[in-house]
Amino acid sequence: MTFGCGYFPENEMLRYIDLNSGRSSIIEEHLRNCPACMKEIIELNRINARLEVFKPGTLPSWHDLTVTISEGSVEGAWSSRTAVNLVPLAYSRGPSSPGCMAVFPEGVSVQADGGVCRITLKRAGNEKQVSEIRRKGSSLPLFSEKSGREEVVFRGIGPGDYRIISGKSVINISIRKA
Amino acid sequence: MNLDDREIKAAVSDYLGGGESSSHGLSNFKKLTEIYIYNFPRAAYRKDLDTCSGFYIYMVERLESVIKNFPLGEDIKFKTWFNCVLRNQFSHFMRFQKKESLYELNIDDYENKTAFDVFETESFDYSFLEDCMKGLDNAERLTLKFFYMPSSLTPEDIISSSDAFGLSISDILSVQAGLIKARADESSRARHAVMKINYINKVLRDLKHRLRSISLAGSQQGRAPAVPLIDRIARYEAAKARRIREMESPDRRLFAVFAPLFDNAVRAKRSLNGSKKKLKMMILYKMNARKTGRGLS
Repeated sequence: MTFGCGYFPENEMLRYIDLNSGRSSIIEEHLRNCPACMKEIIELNRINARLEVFKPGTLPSWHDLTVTISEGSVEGAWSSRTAVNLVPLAYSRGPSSPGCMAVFPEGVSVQADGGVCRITLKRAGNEKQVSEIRRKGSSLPLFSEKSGREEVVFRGIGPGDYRIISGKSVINISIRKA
Repeated sequence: MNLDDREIKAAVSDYLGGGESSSHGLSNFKKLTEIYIYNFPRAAYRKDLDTCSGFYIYMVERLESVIKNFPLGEDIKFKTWFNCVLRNQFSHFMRFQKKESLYELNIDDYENKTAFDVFETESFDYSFLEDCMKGLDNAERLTLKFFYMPSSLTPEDIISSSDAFGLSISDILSVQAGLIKARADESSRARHAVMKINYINKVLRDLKHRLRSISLAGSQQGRAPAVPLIDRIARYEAAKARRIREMESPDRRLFAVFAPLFDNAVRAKRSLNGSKKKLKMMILYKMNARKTGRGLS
């Protein structure tokens, strides 16, 4: 990857940002005449400063959730306990009760034989929670309900990318045609 | 939000070393950077949480190829290098998102409109302010921009401030970074003070309501009002006044970071106050010109 106009190697410019370059005066001379490099330096300087003072909060507790996707003979099940990464997600529920997003090793993905799938959500606990499924990028859910049931079933789900939300847990799945 | 340079470099080294420690290195690397990656769009570009989770998934898929490119032998801070990588990846991600969200709308089907996200990040219009700032001379304009809007300095501003303040570009950049950090601290301090004031207001409202009820009951029976309650109200009023003073007082740290642009703190203060006064006059003049419909000469 080149930096700005590409006159200096990227590593040299990054060292300059760290105030660690032996060639600062040459780089500064170049920066005075090169708006492309100057723009990148300023942006990185701004990003460095902003990220340094940003306070992300702590990782919230994890909620148990199992997803089963079935279509004819094809079936797969994934549990939130097998997720490799958990990241906090406020998801419109306010900063005081953030959720979690589970990311699976390859993302949850199932091969459907061109037909439609059935997705079953099984949760631990019986407190009332919102369960919904929405297409990626869409602001309206395909299905949404608030109940205390342990099992929720979404039927007639075609191929595509979806986001399943159950209480504070979010799972991204993708259903592809075989 | 900080990344431990030594720990991350050890994880990268484990991963690049291959063998058994490779998978351990990768999972360690993910653990150390996941919060950082997730919050990057929010912290750097003020994007919403949906963008954050989308970008996180996008990055997780590419993390292995990213980690392989880290120049372990060079003496670069991991954080600087990673910010550069994340910025490049984020611009790819936004382009990729834009392509995906190209909807064809049927003009008759108004329900299609719901396919778009209704939440947008706020963007401010500074055009009037910038128009007013054009009436100031270069040094005054730069003084105000550095103190109040350090994030919006352009390449031209940095070069002309290097000439105007007689400092090297790297010094100017470090003052800019310091001011961005101090501004963020200042706004979180103000937010904290506002939260405290809101809490005190709530307590005061309840206490005053109780005092009113007691006074009404007392006056009917010919008793004096409850003195301990009045004392409590007075204490809370004093605490509120203290918080308001704290919120209004200028942040010394912000000024301490700003002052190195000038020869000394007195000159920095004088210059800042002078520029502020001139900008106020300029804003009043422009607003008046707008109202009366007369252009400025």
